[in-house]
Amino acid sequence: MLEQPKDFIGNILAILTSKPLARPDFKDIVAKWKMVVVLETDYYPVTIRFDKGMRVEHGDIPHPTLRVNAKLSTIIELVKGKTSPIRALLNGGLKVKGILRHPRATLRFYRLISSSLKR
Amino acid sequence: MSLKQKLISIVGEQYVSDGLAEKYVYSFDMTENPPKRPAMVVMPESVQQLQQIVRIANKDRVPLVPFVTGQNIGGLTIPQVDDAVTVDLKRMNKIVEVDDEAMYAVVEPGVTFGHLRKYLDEHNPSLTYTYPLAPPYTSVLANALLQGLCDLSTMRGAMGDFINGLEAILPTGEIVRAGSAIMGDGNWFGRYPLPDLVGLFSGWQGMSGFVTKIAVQLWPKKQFTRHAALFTFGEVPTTELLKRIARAQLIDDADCMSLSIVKMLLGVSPPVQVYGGEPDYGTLLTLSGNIEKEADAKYELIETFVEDARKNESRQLLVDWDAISRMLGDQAKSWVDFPSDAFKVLTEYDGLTWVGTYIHPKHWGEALSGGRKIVEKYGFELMAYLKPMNSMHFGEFKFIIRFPKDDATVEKVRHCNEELLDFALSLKALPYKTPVWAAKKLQQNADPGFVELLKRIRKTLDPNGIMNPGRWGL
Repeated sequence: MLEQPKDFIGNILAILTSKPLARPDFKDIVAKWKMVVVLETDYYPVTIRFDKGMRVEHGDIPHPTLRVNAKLSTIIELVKGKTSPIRALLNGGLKVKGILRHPRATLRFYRLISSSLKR
Repeated sequence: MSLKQKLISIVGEQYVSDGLAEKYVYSFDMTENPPKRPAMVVMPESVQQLQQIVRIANKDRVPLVPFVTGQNIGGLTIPQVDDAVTVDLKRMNKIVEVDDEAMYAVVEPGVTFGHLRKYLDEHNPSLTYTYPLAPPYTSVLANALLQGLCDLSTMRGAMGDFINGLEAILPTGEIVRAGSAIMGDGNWFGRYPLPDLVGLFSGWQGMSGFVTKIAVQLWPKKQFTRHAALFTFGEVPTTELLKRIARAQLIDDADCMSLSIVKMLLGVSPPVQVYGGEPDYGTLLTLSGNIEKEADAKYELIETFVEDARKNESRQLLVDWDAISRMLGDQAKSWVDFPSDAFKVLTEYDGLTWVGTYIHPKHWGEALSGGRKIVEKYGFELMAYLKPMNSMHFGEFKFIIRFPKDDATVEKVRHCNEELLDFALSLKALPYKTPVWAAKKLQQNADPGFVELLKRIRKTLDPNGIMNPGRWGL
């Protein structure tokens, strides 16, 4: 489903998402998605492409479907379960551009992330 | 009687070979050091057999090369002269004694870290030894004599510091002891107060005799061990933060490595590249306590040091192991196991090398940044490794190179390593597990009185020059 990324954050995302993507039903659902998400971090940005699967690349692209901004420390808080995506959105730790224009893509990405963060 | 017949009469036909296959196997290691075949290989089982071999070699002036598993990264078991006999000691593999009260083990050369760990787990579960930056099937005795580093080095120093005493066969065939066991067996508690004759064998790479037994210090096993990962940017900020943590005596161990090594452990395929914005270094911190609170308190103090460091670079990040386990998955364990399990990523090709040096803390930042420029110039993967040693009295740094052993790459590796060593020597660093070429460079830079003393001691102990001749370029 996911080609192994060459960069550090890409690898973390690949490992986190590997659990939900290992479920055949969810894998089939994600395979139908067509969108691009840029995750901006305080380290560097990565581009996550959904097109017959998922691919993570180092770097930014203009005009993604969604642009998510979070510090790596916030991502770690999410991973540890010390905060939730909704709480992080509300307190500004997580910012998303494109929510209003692409609500379905937002819901899909939220679903992937929240499944990845489940313990 | 030929030499082969004499050796067979000591150890039996099965344990002597001058076959092409055996000579080939013992002629090289993973490094770029030039191979050379021994004339013969012999495998004694006891001190008495080894003593007889040494006596014959001394009488007939046959060069002898000690060997246990040959896993060093320095060409240390490759013969340097023609007609040498490689003496493989792995059959001498007895754990002679473990003293629970004075916390030491006495072992023969063939005892590996794996053997000792298993033995202690079964018989002395409250005690632990250590493990090196090498596979578990390497020799406890060889690593201690070669003064290598281990997973307790940040707190306790090089493995040479763990030696309580030893028994050795001199090149002239006599059996001698150094340390408190000169008073008899069951008394291997230390090296003092005596002239420290362990120094006649420690660091000599088998040039002064065969060590047949070594007593090494064991340590009480702590009840609670915690790991954490530190991701940092910049050579100077990274090393300054590490120094502060190590100096506070909070950690048992710190393995600071280029992020590329962490990515290799995650399974990133070669060649592993550095991407802009990635942390420069990932450091695995190990800390322990007799109670959980002790380990937690140490971790909290480290957190405050990292918070201070974040005032200058907000991306410096300390991550506890629960989060790392979730972020890195199964590979998190590979990172913890890296020192003893390192070879699974380091042996991507048939070649592996490094120039390891021990260095003054004031030069750490410069060493990492200068070495990085050299490695990048040659186009190898960036694999720096730094460990604070002996409660912050010094450090070990190296640049690891994994490479395919084609002629052109081997030549490039040689040039790169020479440049790295020249740079390290300019910082007054000392190479350890020193290959011959590096020992020669060291001698050109070192106090000539020291080199002269080495030669004089060697001549006194080994008048016929049979023990590992050519080693260290002596």
